[in-house]
Amino acid sequence: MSKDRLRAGALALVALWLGLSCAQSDTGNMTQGDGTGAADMDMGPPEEEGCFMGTPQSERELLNRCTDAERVNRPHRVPERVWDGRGPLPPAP
Amino acid sequence: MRSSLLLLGALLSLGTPHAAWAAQRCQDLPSPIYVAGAASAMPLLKALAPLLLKDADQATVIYQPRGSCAGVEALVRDTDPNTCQQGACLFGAAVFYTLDGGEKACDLPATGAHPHVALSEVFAESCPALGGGAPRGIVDLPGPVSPLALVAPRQSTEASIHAQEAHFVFGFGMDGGVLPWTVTDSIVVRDERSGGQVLLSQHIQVPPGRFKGTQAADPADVMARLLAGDPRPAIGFLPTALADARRGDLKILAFQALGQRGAFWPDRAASAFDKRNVRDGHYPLWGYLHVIGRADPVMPDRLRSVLAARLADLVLGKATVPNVDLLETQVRAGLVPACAMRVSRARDTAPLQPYTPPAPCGCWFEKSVPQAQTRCTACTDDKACGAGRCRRGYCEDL
Repeated sequence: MSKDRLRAGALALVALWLGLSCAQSDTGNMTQGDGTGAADMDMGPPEEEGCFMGTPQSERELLNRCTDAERVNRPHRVPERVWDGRGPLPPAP
Repeated sequence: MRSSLLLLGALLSLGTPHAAWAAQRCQDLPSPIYVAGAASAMPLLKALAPLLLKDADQATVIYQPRGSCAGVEALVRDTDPNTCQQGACLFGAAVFYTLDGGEKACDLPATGAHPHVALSEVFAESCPALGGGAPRGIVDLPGPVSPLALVAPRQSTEASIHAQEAHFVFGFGMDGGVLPWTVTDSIVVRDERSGGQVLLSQHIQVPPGRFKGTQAADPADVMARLLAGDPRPAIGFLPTALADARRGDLKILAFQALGQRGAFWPDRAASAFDKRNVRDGHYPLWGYLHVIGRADPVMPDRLRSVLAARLADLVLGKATVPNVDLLETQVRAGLVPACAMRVSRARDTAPLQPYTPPAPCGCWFEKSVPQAQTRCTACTDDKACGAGRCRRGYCEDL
């Protein structure tokens, strides 16, 4: 198999992945205007990380499996003064 | 006694608006079977109790909805049939169910009633007061699934909550600073013997005994407190079996678990009832409704009490009852039959894993809930189902 064919195959796979990722992002926006309190929803840019498209085995894969269910995308609102958003959660007092 | 009767009255009104009151001694009822545990089990018990009354034993189900772990503790600590040790047995008021499906109140014996069975939304080993590990001499039978919902008043402007936010809301109260949930009196919690609080604690990393907020006595009290004040900062948690029946007053919040991208409702949409995200693993806040009882000393995987074993078979949908579909009874009680699940858990703290039920019923379940909607193919036999099977009128994949 030539290098050109390999490159073309890789490009096709990337295009397929991007297409599915965008489709998933669209379903993430289905919550707009559904009367459930859209005030806290981020209707901005599509999800960049995509969703899990394979056969899920782990909990993380199950939680992030591609779905057409409604989803709310918004950043968390924990103030930086109580948590930096990256490290472990502090124990409850 | 008066306060326990008031609480019981509130729970009776939660389950049925027509509960009748009578001065009745529980022990005078025919073949009493004493049960304690989660309030979310009341709709199911209300449906199953008449079946026990129709049995040859004519057993009367007497229920005290004191919380999952409170029920489990009363059972596990009841090791002496001649007396009630500290923390064992049931006292005060209880509910019993009549042949026509009615609920009435009765007074438990002053010396205490020895529980036959506990109904719990968590594994017995998850109950904090039992010190971890499965209690000896106890059988723990997981049954249908009981999802848990984070809820707010209908007028709340919020639609979702992250697990990290819930960690600070329920673990730190107003000090958590997560808007709009910064009013400790508006954060409604239960206690560490509530199955819901135990379940939630494991997903937001707050020990069940360290929740901050105003403490409600039971689910009816949770609703009353949520609806009494300013709706903006109000938040609490309830089993969906109870919250779904109050969608006019309450809003179920979508939940984003740790490590999850996006927040999901228990159902495929905020307005649906299909528990699709519970069933496929996008919504992890759920527990099995467990039947927990004393083990038979000879066959330790079976319940010792015949009455308890019969009740367990009904709750788990394993009994055969003429003209009664026990799975349908579970669905009407707001629960998800195990056959409709595609994920499972070995323990409350264990991660979700893929699950293939021996006789799947997900399609039938989707057609059995309000606002039914399914993409499954209706069938009368396997011919229409290709490689799948026709089960309960729909093609399932095996």
